[in-house]
Amino acid sequence: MMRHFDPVELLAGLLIIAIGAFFFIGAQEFSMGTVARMGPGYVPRGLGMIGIGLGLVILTGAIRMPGRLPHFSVRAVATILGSIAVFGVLLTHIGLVGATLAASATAMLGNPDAGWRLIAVTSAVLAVLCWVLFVLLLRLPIPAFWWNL
Amino acid sequence: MDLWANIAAGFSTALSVTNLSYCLLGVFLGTFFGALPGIGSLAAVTMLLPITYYLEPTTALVMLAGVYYGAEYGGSISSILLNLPGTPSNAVTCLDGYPMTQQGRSGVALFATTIASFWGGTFGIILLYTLSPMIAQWALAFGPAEYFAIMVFGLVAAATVTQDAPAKGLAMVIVGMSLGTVGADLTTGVARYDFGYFELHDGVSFIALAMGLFGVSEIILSISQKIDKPFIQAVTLRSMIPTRDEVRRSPMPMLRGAGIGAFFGALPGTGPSIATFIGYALEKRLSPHGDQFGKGAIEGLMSPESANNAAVQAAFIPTMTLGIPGSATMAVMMGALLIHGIQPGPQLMTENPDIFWGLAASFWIGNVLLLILNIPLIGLWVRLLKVPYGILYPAVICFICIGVYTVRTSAFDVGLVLFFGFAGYVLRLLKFELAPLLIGFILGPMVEENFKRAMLIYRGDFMTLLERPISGTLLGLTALLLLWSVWVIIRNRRERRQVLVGGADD
Repeated sequence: MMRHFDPVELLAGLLIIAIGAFFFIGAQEFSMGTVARMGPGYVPRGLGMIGIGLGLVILTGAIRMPGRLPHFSVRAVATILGSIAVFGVLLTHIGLVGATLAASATAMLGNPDAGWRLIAVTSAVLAVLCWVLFVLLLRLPIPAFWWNL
Repeated sequence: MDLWANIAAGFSTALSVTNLSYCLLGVFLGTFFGALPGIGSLAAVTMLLPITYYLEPTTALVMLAGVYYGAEYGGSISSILLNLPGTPSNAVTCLDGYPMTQQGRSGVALFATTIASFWGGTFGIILLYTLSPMIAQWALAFGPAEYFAIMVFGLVAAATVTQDAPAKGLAMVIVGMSLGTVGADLTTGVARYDFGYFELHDGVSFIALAMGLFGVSEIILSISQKIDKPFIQAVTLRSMIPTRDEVRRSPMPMLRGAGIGAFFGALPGTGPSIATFIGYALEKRLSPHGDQFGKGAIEGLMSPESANNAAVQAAFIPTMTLGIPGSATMAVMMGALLIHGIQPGPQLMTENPDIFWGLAASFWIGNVLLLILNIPLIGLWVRLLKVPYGILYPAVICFICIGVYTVRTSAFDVGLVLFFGFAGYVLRLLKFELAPLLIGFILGPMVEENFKRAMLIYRGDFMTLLERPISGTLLGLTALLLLWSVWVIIRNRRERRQVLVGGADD
């Protein structure tokens, strides 16, 4: 039995309607003004309405269409986003070298083929490289270690 | 003549030791990132942006522009050798480039694309030289109504022309424009959608947005789908020599490609990708060897690569003369100009002539450097492709984080990258194109400002916008584009329905 809607287009339409509604409802806080003298709420309100309209158009495209849900790779998402989070948190606490080391190691967990030895060597080389390149050579204002904080 | 004096002054700026070395560094890094599959020119420019903060504005722009067109040269290398486009606009190059590799003729393909790229780039630069002063002169008379109309036209074109799902493209533009409204309102200073974060007062960091949407989501996609690396053949200088027949068949496609590329590059909203597709389709129709296309026809390489690089250079025309970026990468370039306190627009050529002419001259120098990098040093890039992706992507993630952090010394922006990286991955899974979002984000605040000013001047009478000749024409064209999109939506639906009915018969 064939599905009666394309899940990709369905979700896409719903997402756009949600984003449009978010900006439209949020804009109610700001004054609208008149056409000649627009307040801060005028344009966001308009954008929100167009967004909702386009979302509905996308949604109608989903009706009675074949389609399959795309594969959502939990492991890739978790490790890559995790590595960014690790970097953001650690940078202000232990400095660039530690943050790079941890972020790189976390990111590499997303690759099922990487053994712990490859992860350790790559991350260590990368941390030293970033320290030399960004702190010593380019002199970017980033603390390298916790004693530079 | 004034033009020659300007060109000479530009070359003397571009040939200073500092600018020349940063130009070389830019094209080198650009080729490097472009050759790596999955990292496009957009991600490359954004990632390297922080390095340029402490440089002079001209030097910074010379380097970033070098990264941009260098990446387009480098992108063809992985298209040809691996069948994986290095940047989206090199996708067409795979069609005939990879078959040539399979026939053991990758050297010829690499040589041909380099020559075509060089010609396309040169043609784009000549156009930049000759058209920009005229457009800038003309644009000085533009009021808010004209700017509003040009930008709306550009946004609608970006969303509809290249996309096969125009409604989704337009939706991305609207999402981008909505994100652009975050932060203090320009006229009243009211903080919009800041959720109490003072970091959002100046708006969403466009670098965090671009890096999350393009860099991070690309990496998530790449590691979630495993790519088997095929065997990479060695490329020697001797293997680059084309046959006599190929030499004879090459010039015309290359010339036509450059013309197509320059046209679509200079139009705001349409970029290199569409130019390469049209260039390829045209050659396929014109060529007496049409049946060879897709099996390693030299015309199938010359035209799109020439179009691609002509479009890349011509894309600087609307950005520099009108302050309207034609593509997502140009939006990042314009962001770089703004960070350095330079407002692109018709005044740029009169107020900062050294920047405009210096940059234009550096383009040509950069293209000559690329010729050297891509022919005698091709072996270096081929070897680079053998580095496994598994050890490259953690480095890219760290560079993205460090780059975004340094822009505003803000860990909050690193959090934004995380958010937009996730959003970008979800949007890609739902088959949205992300480039219109970024163009919408950059142009959104300008559209709002010019719309407000135009309505203030014309006392809220929208009809005035339609009555003024330039804005009226552009808004009329925009309406035609929208009508055409409606037709595309209906036609696509009908076609997919037919496939559906056909499938049900089995």
